[in-house]
Amino acid sequence: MMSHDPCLREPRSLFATPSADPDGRSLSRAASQSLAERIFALMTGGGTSTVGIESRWRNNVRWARNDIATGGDTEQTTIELTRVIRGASGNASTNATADDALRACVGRAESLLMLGDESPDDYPDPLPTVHPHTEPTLWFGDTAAMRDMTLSAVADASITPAHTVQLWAAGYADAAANSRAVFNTQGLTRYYAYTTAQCSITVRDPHGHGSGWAGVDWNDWSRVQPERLAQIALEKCIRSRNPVAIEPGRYTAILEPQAVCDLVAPLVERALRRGDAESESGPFADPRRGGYSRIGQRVIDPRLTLSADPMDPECGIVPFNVNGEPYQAVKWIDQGVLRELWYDREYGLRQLGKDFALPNSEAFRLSSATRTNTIDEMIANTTRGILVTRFNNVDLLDFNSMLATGNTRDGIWLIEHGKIVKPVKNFRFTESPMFILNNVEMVGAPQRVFRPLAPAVVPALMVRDFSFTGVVDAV
Amino acid sequence: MRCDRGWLASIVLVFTLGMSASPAHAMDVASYKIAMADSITLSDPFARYVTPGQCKQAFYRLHRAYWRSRRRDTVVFAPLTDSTPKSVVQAARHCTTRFSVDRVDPRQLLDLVQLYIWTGQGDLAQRAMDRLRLASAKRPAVARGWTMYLYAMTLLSSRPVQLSSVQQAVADLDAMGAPAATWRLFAHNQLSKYLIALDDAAGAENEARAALRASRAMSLTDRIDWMPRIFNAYQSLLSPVERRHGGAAALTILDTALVDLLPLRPAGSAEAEAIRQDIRNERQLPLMLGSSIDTPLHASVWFSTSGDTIYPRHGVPALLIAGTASCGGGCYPMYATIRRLHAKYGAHLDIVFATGTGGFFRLQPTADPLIEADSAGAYWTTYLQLPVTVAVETTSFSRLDDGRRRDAETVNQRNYFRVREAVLVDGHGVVRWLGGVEPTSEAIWDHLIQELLTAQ
Amino acid sequence: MQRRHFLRRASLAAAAGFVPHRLFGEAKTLPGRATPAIVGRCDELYAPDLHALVLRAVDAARSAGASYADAHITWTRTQSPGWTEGERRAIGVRALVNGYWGFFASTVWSPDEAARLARGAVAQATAHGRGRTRAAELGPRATIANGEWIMPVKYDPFDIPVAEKLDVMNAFTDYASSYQVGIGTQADMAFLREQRISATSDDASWSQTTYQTQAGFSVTYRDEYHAHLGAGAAGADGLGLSGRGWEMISESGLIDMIPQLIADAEASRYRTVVDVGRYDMIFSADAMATILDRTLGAATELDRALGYEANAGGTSFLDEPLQRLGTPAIENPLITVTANRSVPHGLATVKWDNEGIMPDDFTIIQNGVLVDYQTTREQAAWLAPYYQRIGKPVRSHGCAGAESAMMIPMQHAPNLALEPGALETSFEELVASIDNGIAVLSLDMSMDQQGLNGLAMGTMREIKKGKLGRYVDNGAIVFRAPEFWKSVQALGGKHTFQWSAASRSKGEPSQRTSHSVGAVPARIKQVSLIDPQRKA
Repeated sequence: MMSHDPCLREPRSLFATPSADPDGRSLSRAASQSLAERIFALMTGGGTSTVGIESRWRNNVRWARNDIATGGDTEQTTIELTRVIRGASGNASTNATADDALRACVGRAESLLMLGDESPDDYPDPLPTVHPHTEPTLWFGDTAAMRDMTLSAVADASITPAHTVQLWAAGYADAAANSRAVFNTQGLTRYYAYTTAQCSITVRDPHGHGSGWAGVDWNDWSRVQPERLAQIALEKCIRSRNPVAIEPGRYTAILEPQAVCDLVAPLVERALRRGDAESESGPFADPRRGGYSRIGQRVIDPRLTLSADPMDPECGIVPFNVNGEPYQAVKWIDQGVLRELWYDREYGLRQLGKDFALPNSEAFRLSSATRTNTIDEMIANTTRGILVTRFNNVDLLDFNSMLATGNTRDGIWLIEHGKIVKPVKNFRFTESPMFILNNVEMVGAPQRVFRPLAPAVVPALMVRDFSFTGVVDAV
Repeated sequence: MRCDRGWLASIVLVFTLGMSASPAHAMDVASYKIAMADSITLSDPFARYVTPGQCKQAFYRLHRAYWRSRRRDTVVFAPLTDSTPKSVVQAARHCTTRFSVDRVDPRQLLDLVQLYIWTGQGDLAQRAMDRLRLASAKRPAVARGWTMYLYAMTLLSSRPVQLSSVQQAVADLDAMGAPAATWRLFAHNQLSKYLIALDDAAGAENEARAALRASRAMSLTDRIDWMPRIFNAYQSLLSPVERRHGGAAALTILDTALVDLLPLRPAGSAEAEAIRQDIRNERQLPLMLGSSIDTPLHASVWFSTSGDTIYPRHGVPALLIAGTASCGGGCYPMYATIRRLHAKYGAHLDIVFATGTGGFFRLQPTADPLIEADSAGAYWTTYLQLPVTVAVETTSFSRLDDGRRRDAETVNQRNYFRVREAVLVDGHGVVRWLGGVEPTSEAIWDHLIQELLTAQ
Repeated sequence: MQRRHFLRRASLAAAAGFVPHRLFGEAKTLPGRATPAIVGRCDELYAPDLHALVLRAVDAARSAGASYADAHITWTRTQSPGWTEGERRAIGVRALVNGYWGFFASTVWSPDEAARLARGAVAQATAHGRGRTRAAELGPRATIANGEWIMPVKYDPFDIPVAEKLDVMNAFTDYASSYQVGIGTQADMAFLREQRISATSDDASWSQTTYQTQAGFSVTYRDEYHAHLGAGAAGADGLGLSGRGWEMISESGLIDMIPQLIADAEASRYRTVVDVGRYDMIFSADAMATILDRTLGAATELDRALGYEANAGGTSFLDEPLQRLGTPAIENPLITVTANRSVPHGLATVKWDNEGIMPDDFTIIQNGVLVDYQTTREQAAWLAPYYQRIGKPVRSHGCAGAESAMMIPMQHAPNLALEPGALETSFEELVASIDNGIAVLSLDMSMDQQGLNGLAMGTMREIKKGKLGRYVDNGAIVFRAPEFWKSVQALGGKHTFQWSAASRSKGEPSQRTSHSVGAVPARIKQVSLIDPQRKA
């Protein structure tokens, strides 16, 4: 007996023409649905189930010291199952789609929930409303069809120019076809297919005297432009060689978009929860009124808006989370004023009379309402300051102030009298995104940065009094 | 107990030797034997248990599991008087047979004592307790007192409770004098609460007063540290005093409490002000006791089998409860109490749920308060079939500038439910008791209603 | 249950004509250790079918033109009792063509898929070559045929019912909270079991099972009134992640530790703020393990040192290995750092690494002198000039690993150890040698991208006149790795040696593995203490 698992794909010829059909690389809607139905059919004991199904087929290449080092072509479907019977819940996950694996997964979830307490209240609540989600275009056929030859050429885009000037290029690029689906036994059906692509390049002096970096991620590989990244990384490496130590202290800092993202991302990831702010916790709790957030108050520079929108043409987001809750277009901070903080469905219901949650995708766009300045203009306007490419190992020190520490990396220069004068040794910093977003001199045009976790579109910022607290002589 | 797996033991799938001549399509992974066998065949689920403490945890777990699948909305389950289910007792006894009173590690003796008590093996419990006393003889009095306190609480939490044993244990604790004063405060207070639940007001009053006497034997440092527990003992005292002597006597108790507790916090401090505020709050109940509420319950929507919409009704004692239909499973114990009271008193007692609207019913927003009112009423009367009348007010509300809803106090909340969530009024609108309605206060409500009806 | 097993075998035998070779047979342990009693099996994996798959994969890779290939299958079970359960399957094939690597992986265990992955890996390696050839010397190969090793544990955690696990852990927390009034507890546990079936094109094949068990247990103490003191907390050492089974929790000496934990929790409420400045410090074994791992451990990963992690975690301050080897990495003859994958219960302990090599115990730093790096087969060749110069064989130290078969094998950290001092100095004696200083009991570290400068925070106590005092609030140490190690003045003796758990992410895509790090307490001269929240 050989039962056919509809989730297994036919083995493909390696030389088949790449297809833009989502069925080729990520799990299709039909296959996801069929898989969910197979899982639901294995349920025993009644109750409800929710299953999240994520698939990813990723092709990658990695290089270092001017040659390709490794690569990979991997595919995986991950299933997360939650069973609920009369209020008791159990959770289990697997990545195998064969019958026995699914049966084991359901069994484990059901065993777990047997240990929890049931609720005796079995009222037949009506099915929750399934709110529609937006439909951004996040699938790009060419990206899904990326193969080894293409990615190998990507490596060469930085290797060749680095080799020419006796520097070492290292980097990583990948392209992936993904799908996210959520189904439950109460009629929720969500499916979304999307591609992702990233490229990051580090060019180093072979004797460790300098290092430059550039990177970006997109849904569409054609926007990645590895040649451009390679050039930036190369130039930064050359210009960063033989840095000189200067005194730490407070400086005007011109933070490139990646550096801004490195500092602001923790704010987006950790500080936007409404429940915290209304419990006197975090930077958005009102210090003068316990139990109130700072919604309605100005919290950062009035030029700046912090927002997220799945339909954003440069910062599109898979439009629902792993629980199937749709992401909405939201302005967390609108021209400096805090407008929204994320909450779950119960909060939305009881406090705001809403039938839905406001979840946080952790993607964000930071933009300015007013005329923006280029980095060159910022430099020209700096009497004495520091230009930073990016930060490394940003660690939060204090949740209420969002004070964080870490160090600079891959290109840092001293600016004097409107000109870059020399590369300097890296600094440790002790600074908070709340502080820098309140000490903005100039804002750049937002651009997409490197943040595969969740997309970000961020401007360069020129900020006052940035706190560099030590010299870090690592390159 | 078998390996805790709810699912089928093993899936035997046919193995095929198709490796060399495989067809074009992939062979199903399921044809490989990934046998998810059920767990170890232990006839004894406690084979690896090495301490009585582990057996005790199994006891808790099995006890919860026993009740888990038995719905609590029956007239049977009443936590104070029911005994521990036989199957649970048997399993715990079986686990305990692995241990011997004489050989078990002294650090495990208290757990063993607890197990013996809860499984009705009093003699073994006594022997284990004797050995524990002996083993603790050289420990400082504070530590010995703590163990004795735990022992007394073990007796108090067994089902059924042997009150005389508890009282003996507490007396032994008292005999330890000042070094055990803190534990004596705790023990007498807990015993008082137990007696309150049995509606033994005289006993409860004695115990609460004993708790307060013990508190005066505590050192000043300990009194400062444990002030909230001393306050709690005053709270325990209030209930039987109100029960036996009425509101005025309770107010006197609160005057004493203020004098007693205020010096335990720095003068003028926020904590001292908090004590004042807490005592002011406590005064509300005795002030309301015995008062007369002239206004009937207010509502936009009524669910009334009698057809009346004036409640409380003249000549009929009424139990008025501020409820919320979104309470869910947490209110089932209250519903069980209500069913039992109704079963006993029938038409002689009105039970009325008074509720407001919150903008949602369970998990759904409700823009129209009348729809919400209908849903709430139907939930209690039609779905749960509770023998209650339901009065639903349309709650006024405002929105904070951040959008959060803030409900205004309703008429009924102001007139009836400012102090407690449930009010018992006699047939003449006089408040005879206030409190929460659950199985642990059921005896009080029951006796009071009986007294009211007898007096009529 | 036994009967069911028998039936299963019979039907299998009937269908296939042979008795399956069970992966979970008699436990094959490292030589010299007694075979432990394996109590039952909840989940079983029948090996030969999967063995056949990895063999098919390497065959297909060879046929397609690989000069070397290895294939792995992993089946990983995870559990956080009462919370969640997980299972992950993977099969991955790595191929070497003209000195370039390719790698394909998926979750489908079938012969056709094994072949597809193999051919894919070869084609990818070919594409990576872009028509070029480069040298890839792999050194001595693995020689095992049908090897089998199971990490010795007394109880496979996945055989123990979740209910029993909860009873055992709850009994600990109940004991603590009954010990004295005011005690709160926090406890959690997690289990992992990886079964791995592997083959190389060098005709090596083997299977290995490893376990990781972790428990956290801490007590908190809080007076009802003395709120200004805050809550104190103390966590149990020795229950952290290690290569053990369920017995790590069920047979732990936690009951014995609880009184001291409670005392520590009470004491830790009394906190003080210490002036910033330089202090002589005593680091606990656990703190030394953390610094060892994050400085010297990371720095001596050969791929990192040569720039292969430059685009990810960064590089190493011990770069240009061929120039540094044989010279002092640390100007301190007290410091000897060794590596192994053999210590019992080590998180990186295996019988064979991902390339089938039996790892050896080796020295990385000998009395301050850098004598070796962590290597795989390919990487050992990069140090060939050095090995030849000192007359050592050019062979891998067996550091190949991967988070699962879904990830490409690469060098991962072995177990690391800071060797004890020659004298039998105790932690207390080290503390007693300081008049005014700081004791650092545990650390969380933030290092720069070369592993050179660090900022670390953790549990610290004053040392006053040779005795431990109040807990230090909000202090952090800053250091530079070479100066830190140079400033080590004394080390604890053999009896103070203790193992801690560590993990590291490396590679792109990122993969994370765990390893054990052992160390002794140490006295360090004039370490800089700062207020980490003080801005410039």
